[in-house]
Amino acid sequence: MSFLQRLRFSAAGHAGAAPTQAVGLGGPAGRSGISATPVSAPAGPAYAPRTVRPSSGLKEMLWHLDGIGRGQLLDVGPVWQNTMGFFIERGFRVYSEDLLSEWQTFLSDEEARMRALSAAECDEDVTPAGRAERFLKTTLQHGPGTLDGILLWDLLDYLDSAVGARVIARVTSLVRDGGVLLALFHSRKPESFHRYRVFDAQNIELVGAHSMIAPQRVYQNREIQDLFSRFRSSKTFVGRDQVREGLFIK
Amino acid sequence: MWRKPEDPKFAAAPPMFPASNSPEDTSLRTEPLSATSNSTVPSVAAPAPTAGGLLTSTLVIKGEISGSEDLMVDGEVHGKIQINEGKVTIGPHGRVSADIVAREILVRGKVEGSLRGRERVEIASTGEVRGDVFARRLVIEEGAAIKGSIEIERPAEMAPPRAARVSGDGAELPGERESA
Repeated sequence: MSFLQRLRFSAAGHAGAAPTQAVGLGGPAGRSGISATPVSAPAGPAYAPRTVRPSSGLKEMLWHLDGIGRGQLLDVGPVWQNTMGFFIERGFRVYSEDLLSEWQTFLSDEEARMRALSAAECDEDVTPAGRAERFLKTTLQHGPGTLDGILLWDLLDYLDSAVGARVIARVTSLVRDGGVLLALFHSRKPESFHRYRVFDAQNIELVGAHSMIAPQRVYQNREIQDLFSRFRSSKTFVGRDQVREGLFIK
Repeated sequence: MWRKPEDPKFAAAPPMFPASNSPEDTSLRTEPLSATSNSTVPSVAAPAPTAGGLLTSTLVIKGEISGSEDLMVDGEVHGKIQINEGKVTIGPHGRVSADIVAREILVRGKVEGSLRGRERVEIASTGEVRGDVFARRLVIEEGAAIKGSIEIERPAEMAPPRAARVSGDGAELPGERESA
């Protein structure tokens, strides 16, 4: 990908939601069936700013996943053609589940539901722990030890402690022995909201978007180690943007 | 100079089925769908042979829909949709709780069920899919939402089993190795 192509979608300022344009697909089928045919952008709001950054965590993750064959990978961010195509070309079956969006929808539904119920009718556990348990009843429904890799992105920075801990416990059980998980952690409260996707084998792309949920916390390194204590090893990479990439190997 | 409107030589041709990506057309076209409808369907003129089916936003279908021509769903369907040789388009108002099997599938609305497109599956920016997606070619617009697995089916996986090749003396020849 050339430098000019990388800047193709750069725009001044935050444009809110990601632009609605088909990212290259439908041309002559490549090996994966997801070929890249550039589609001209429709007129309208300026595109959300995009930044490509090197990712040592992704490189390391791919090294660990190399040679698996028809592996299974879960992406808990929004579904992107780039990310899907990247892993499908490598023989993976990719599961997509935008957990942050699901959590946002869940919170809205919970609030509406609680308002509709009177205090006498409501017999549910309304604590953060109870809410987290209800959330996980409908998300991350995969068999234990079935996933070879998980892209967690910066999800944990936007979940409260109760649901974050349970999400980690759940994804830990989903990863097979020897599988890997990639997570990003902001070292300070982020100034803008981004969604992440794979750009290529060595880079990830940050796509500016409407802020869905305010950042909940900044994890310290020790807390991260405790969260992923069931993984046998981990590697941490710190980028120039002070975002920590954690690769955890079970 | 001016022809009478009833002159058969100038009778209006039956309306052609609009392009499947023209959501403005909400008129109903009849189509021999093996469906069970619980809504009253107004009768309209039979479409031209190449026309497909259109379920408008007010219709609710419970059952199995099958056919061979294109289908546009802008209403509600519960059951199964199978259009092996045609294209199924779920319009922006479409709400489908069904597995969909078709040559091509375009989702602009909401689908809860698996999608299996023999040629292509496209999830538009307004599309939401809760289910697994199988396709030979896949298009995902930015803004689309998918909760489920995504799998590209290779041509060899979708083709029927090949007959064994036999040499001149009747011995079976080894099969070709699949390209990576």
